[in-house]
Amino acid sequence: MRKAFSAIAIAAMVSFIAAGCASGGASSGGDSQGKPAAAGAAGQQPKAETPKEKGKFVFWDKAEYVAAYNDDMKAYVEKWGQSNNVDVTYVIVSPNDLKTKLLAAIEAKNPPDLIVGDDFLLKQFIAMNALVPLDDVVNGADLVPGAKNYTVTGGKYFLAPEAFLMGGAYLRKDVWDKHNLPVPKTWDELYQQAKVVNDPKNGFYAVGFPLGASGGGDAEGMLRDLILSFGGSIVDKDNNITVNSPEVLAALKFAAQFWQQGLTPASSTTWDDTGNNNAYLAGTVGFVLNSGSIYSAAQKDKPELAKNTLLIPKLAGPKGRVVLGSGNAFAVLAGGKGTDGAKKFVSAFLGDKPHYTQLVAKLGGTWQPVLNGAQDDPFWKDPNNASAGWLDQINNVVGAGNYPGPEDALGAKSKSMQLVTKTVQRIVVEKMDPQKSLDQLEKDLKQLYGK
Amino acid sequence: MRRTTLWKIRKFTLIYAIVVIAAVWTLFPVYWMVKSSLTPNDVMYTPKPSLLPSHWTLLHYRELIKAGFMRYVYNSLYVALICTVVCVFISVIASYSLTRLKFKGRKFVAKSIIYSYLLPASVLFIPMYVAVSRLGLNDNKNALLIVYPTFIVPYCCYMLISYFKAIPESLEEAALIDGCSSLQTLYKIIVPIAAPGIAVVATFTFTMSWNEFLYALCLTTSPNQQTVTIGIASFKISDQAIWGLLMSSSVVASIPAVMLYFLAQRFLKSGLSAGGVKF
Amino acid sequence: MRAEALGRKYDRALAYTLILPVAFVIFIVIGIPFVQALYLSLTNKTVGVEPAFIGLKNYVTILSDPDYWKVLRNTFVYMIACVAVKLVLGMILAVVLNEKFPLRGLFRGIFLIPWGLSGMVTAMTWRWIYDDTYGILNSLFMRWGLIDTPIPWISGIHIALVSCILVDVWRGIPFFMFSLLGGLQTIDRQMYEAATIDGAGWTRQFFGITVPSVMPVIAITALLSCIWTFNDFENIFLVTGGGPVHASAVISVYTYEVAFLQNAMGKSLAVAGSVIPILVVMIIVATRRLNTDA
Repeated sequence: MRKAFSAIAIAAMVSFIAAGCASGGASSGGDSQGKPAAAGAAGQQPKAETPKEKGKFVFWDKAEYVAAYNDDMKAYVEKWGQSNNVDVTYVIVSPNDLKTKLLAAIEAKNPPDLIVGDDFLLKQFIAMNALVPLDDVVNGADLVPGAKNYTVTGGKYFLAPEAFLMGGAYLRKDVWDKHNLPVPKTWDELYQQAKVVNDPKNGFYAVGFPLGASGGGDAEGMLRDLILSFGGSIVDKDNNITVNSPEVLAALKFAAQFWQQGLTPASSTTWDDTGNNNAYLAGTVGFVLNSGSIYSAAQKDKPELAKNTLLIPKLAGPKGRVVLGSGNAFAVLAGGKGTDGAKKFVSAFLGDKPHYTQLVAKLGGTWQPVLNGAQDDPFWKDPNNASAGWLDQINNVVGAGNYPGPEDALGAKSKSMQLVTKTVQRIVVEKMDPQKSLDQLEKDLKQLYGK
Repeated sequence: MRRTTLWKIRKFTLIYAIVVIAAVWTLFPVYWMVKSSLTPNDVMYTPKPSLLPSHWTLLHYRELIKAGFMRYVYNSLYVALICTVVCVFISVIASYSLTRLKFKGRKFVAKSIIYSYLLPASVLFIPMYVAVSRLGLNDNKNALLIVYPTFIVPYCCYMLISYFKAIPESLEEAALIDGCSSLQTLYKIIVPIAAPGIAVVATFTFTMSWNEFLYALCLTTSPNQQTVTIGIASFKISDQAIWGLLMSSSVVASIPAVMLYFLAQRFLKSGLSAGGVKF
Repeated sequence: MRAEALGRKYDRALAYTLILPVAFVIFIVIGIPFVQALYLSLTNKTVGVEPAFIGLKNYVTILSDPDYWKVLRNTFVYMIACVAVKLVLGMILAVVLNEKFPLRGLFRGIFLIPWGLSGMVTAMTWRWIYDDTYGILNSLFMRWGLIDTPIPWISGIHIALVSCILVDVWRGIPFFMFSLLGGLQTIDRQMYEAATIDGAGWTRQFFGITVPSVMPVIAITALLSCIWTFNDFENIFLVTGGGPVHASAVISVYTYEVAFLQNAMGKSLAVAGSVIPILVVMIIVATRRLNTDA
């Protein structure tokens, strides 16, 4: 009895020690930096025994709210893989987690080969030398000029456009009609009208502007658009910091008054990107700026609201309207074995116009096409398709989020750090003097740009 | 006699007042989660939500099953069960060694355990991640089995050491004189006496692994490797939170752990305090 | 005598064998990454780029950053408030549940539920309750006429942290309650009877007998809870994301932000590492207390 127990105990011990040594050796192997994933490669070896020339790549695709996209893409890429003798591992990754996951994977020298993500997010990986150039892919595709404008960085293409996610304004037509107000075309018109339709006692706010700084791009994107339409800019085309100007100050003050005067819900200072979606879907705000996701959700869950919604282009400021592009893009990661296969696939995807056109239509208006001619699809001519109201914006896209500055890593970083959002937050939440807050923004930017 | 009755009534009134308020406070969020999971979207997305449901729907649960949510549950069960069994076992034997056997370096190991327990997870995150990836465990739920012990084992040992310390050594001495070996005293005397404590530690271990989010997020990518916390988070897509699915998946994810707590309830109160109490 | 000597020799080999798996976890699985992390905190490490040693520069940068101090202060406020409230409320419930009354078992079961829910589920649910548009809380308060305008639960600069504390308290009370309940049940009833005969009132009995008797339980429970809340990430990250303007950010959330939003790994590890001395002091003080009490 006693012996039996001891024997079992010792056997258990031994197996633990064995397990310990095995992983211990491997983990100490992993400690020596710079030896690229020798252990990792060993772990994946067994599969490679099958026919040698069979290629493979790992594809992290962006999870879209319209799940039909992911179903379509999965089937499409797998079919492509079969006919091209490539093993494709297709994985859907939530865009909220993409950056964290990708950073971790790159650090572990085990990134996927192909990713789809928002352009501003992917641009941050260029400086890490994590992406391979896609100039041949982009130049080989029949793209509208705007599509190139939002994916180019420093004259080169590390991203290939997949689709515009242009977004624009959502307006509650029923509310505006009730007050006999015209559709606003400029920021100032909106502000004047907002004071009329605002009705917080009954839980209705004129606008739903996000101001959260815990990630996401809605708040920063809106404020930067506003600054441009006021004639200001964060940096010029040579990356000189030009933010401390009367134009920018005016834009910041203009933005701040929506919160100061209670025209937007107080809680919007912490909204992440879901905030304005929620508020608009609940019918508590009359005007938001967003991508097409709200429209998709409304069509599904709140058809009545979708009918009362007008989709209008972004607003103009005192200095006109500057249309910046944003959207989904492909990026191919360096260092993987599937780089070639991934590049070939992107070329094939962008070369297959019939498939592309029907895929864009499947997304129900959240996407605008990057390929020439896809705009002529009947989907966009349908008078009931409210999202067509945004379509013509893609023909005026002059650049991406950092315009007029270069689309470099620093620009992407300053956007992802939400420096402008934080500036307005300080004015609104901490009641800081606008000029002082702007000075702080300039200081932060200088630190980031190393000036 | 009458005074005591009056006093009793007042006492019971006070007791019930406290427990009823506490019960409402405790149950309300749970109620709201369950209620939301059964509310159709068109009534859910309203600024004036009603406390009582106007009508029910199982739609969110059907969608959940269709989306393959049960796979996440299975993965979490796999990870949490293995972690619990292994971690509790190695911690029990180690704690026994640390409290009952004398050897060089004992104090050092015991201290190291306590200090490793308070290490913020964020310190270890990136180096851990790199090490695990280089073991070839990318997108593999087994990677979590290597990582989770880093916060579970120190906790288990910390608790078990104090439980074992509280057991009087005289009990074992008697057994040793009767001819038991050290190991026999462990499983014949210490383990039965410390059973409530071990049950508590096991319960906590299970929930800690069940709940972990950040490592699971980074170490697993495909749905057949991911755990429930990631499954829940996947219902927030970009800027659109699908609250119906978020709430119904939360309900499903809560069932195993809550059930476990109910089963372990009778151990909890004796187990939780055993470590701090002299026998 | 001889038998005992023999037994001890055998025990020493056994002792090392038994300790081995745990020692492996502590010194290898935790130890090596920890040393690596400490080294990386002295470098300018960013993802995908080889690190260069920069000495204590990261630490100097964060210590001169007002954001860091704000976040550190929040971390302490959060920890102290959470633990204190949980302790007081947990004690009240434990004392009540220690009395015999009908349906006691039912209530005990109910009070246990929050502890069984995962932190993520809890945070999501409360986020949903607090929500400024769909949230039930503001809606109820307004319906009952308690407030005129909605309370910005997750966005108010003064209230965001309080909201996070409430969530942690909600989830953490059962742990205190059950720990203390166990402690209360070991107290000898005769002590109270003797005190009653001596004419000691309820408060004197409570502070004279109850509290000192469960002091060791209070200490260990509070210590564990302090460590958990100090390192808590999910709760705040999922409820407020640390906003607005870091008003509810704690060290763990700030670490994540520096690492993954600013992609400054070295600096983020310095942030995380900078609080280790605080935790060490905390645990030394606590264990010393524990040893003198127990």
